[in-house]
Amino acid sequence: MLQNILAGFAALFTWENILFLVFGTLVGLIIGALPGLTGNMAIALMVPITYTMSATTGLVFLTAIYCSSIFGGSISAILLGIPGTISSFATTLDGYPMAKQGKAGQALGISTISSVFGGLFSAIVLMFLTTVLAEFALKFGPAEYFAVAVLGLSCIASIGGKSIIKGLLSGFIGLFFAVIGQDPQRGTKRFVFDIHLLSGVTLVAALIGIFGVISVLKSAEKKSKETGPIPEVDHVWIGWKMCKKLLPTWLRGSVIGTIIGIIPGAGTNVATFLAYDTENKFNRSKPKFGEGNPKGVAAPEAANNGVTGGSMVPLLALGVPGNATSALFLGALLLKGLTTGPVLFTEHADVAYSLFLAFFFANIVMAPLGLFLLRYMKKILSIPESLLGGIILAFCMTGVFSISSSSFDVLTCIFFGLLGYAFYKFDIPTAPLIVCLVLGSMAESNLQQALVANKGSYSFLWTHPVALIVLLISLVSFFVPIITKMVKTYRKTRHPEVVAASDLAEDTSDEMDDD
Amino acid sequence: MPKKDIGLGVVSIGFGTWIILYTAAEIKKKSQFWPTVIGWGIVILGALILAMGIFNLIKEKKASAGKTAAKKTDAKEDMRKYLKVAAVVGLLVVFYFVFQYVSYVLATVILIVGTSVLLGYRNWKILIPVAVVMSVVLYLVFWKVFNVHFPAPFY
Repeated sequence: MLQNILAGFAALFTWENILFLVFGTLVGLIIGALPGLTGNMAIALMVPITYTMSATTGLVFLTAIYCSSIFGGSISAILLGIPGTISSFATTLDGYPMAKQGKAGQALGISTISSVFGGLFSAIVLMFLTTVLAEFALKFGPAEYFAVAVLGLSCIASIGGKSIIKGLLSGFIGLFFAVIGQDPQRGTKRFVFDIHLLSGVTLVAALIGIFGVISVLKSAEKKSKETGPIPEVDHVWIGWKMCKKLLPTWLRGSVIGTIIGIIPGAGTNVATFLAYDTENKFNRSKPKFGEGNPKGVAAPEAANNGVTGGSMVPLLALGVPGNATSALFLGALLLKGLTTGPVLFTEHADVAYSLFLAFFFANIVMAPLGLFLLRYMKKILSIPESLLGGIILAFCMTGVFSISSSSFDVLTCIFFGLLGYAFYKFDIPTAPLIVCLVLGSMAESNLQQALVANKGSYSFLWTHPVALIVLLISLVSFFVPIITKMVKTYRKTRHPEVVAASDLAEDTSDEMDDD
Repeated sequence: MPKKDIGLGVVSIGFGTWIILYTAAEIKKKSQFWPTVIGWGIVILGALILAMGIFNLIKEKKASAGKTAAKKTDAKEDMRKYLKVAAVVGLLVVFYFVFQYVSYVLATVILIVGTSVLLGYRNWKILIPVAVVMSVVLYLVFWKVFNVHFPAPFY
């Protein structure tokens, strides 16, 4: 392992990679801070650019954007009371009151250090847990991989937002787009209406449409609103005494964030609200939570950056993207001809370890850069969303075309942008669509291979113990959110006042795929 | 909302049925299993959404009466929103053709200026230079740095 870490260091520390690490952090911070623009959108826009880079440089760049955009969301949450990303929603509850009390600098300082702490914690967990899991997964055959793909698909019930049925519908539509092209086993054409569809839907074009184009379509229907006065940011360093005071909060937030991140489909905002709620229960100091308590900023910020590393564990170890962001990373890896799962560690260990280290160093770079940039945030936040819309679209279209110089990909991107908009209008979440679009072919090809190996018999479902256990976990993962929701609906009709408090978190979770 | 769900249910049933029929008619038998399962899944979920939509509509009709004036203003506002969205999509389609057959920079300038104006930006002194500079920079970066060859010439 030490040898691999050293190989990762050697691959990571080139001038080009360091430059893109800093540049990615800067891009992520700015995009994350601007309300309406999300980290996922930034990653989707940048994926085509990574096509011409080496695998390590591309992944370093995307990692830096991912980590810093999650933190960037807290800047507008604190200064404007509008979370830049949904994962910063909980930060608004105490960060904005702190800014109104003249403590904007302190709140931003806390959010910076908390994010760095959560990010570093999750990077360490990512490195050690992923390698252990991947080593175990080396023994997997098609039966086990089919079960793992089913586990990934089962999370669509929990990422389905308010309506589980609509979440499932979104997932099935994603599966439909995944079957377009050739049958993985027999090569039969399916729904190939154009020669360009023979190799299936271009994943990156679809993702850019869903994240990039849709963000502009959404702002087209919004009335442009003026932001209120932005408070002055004074000194942002919070001092060692405050750091010592917040250490237990950071630890709890980081652990919660990382664990929630590892669970496919659980989502960043679940982690932030859970961390916020946990800290609220532990809190004995004044002011109260919701009135500008520093711990109310520290807990969700440590948790949301804790999710970043955690969410990469199932993708890198098993090849299963548990959320939309990891699906985007998968898209970038596929563009470079790399596959995730144990193969990545046996064939491209330097890339895998440099990715782990990138998560670590992206968070380290974020601290000084974030603290420095906070002074200029007032200017950045005053850039109107209406001016950015056209630039985003131009970037989307150019980026999509550049993947394989195909005009058909531009059409695919526009189509998925429209589909995403239709989903938005009908309250259908897009996260299940993305997860199923990615996992559909994995599930199908492994099922077919397992059936061939078992002479057409489905007995592998119960004769392979690992596959059986994973399938049972999938059943639990699928039905628990459904049962929880049914219980909640029942309680709501009986005791409406008891469940009112938890509705806030549920409402925001409906938009989790936007992050 | 219930009306939207009814519409969604009907569209889903239609879409799922099309998948099933297309699979049966056009795809070889050995490769039919997966698409058929997906088709049936969409039909069943569509039927559930439709049933829930009808149930909620009946419930809503019982609860409300005489709010037509407010609804009319809502419809006008909705129409304005959808027209804006349609115009942005129209700009994307214009971009698709212009960048292929006329000029990349021209297509990008039209896209940036058009979208920003539709989104409500009116400061022309900033908008025009930003659109021109962005278009040229994007062209040069993708052409020179990323080695992308655009189908139409620069100008």
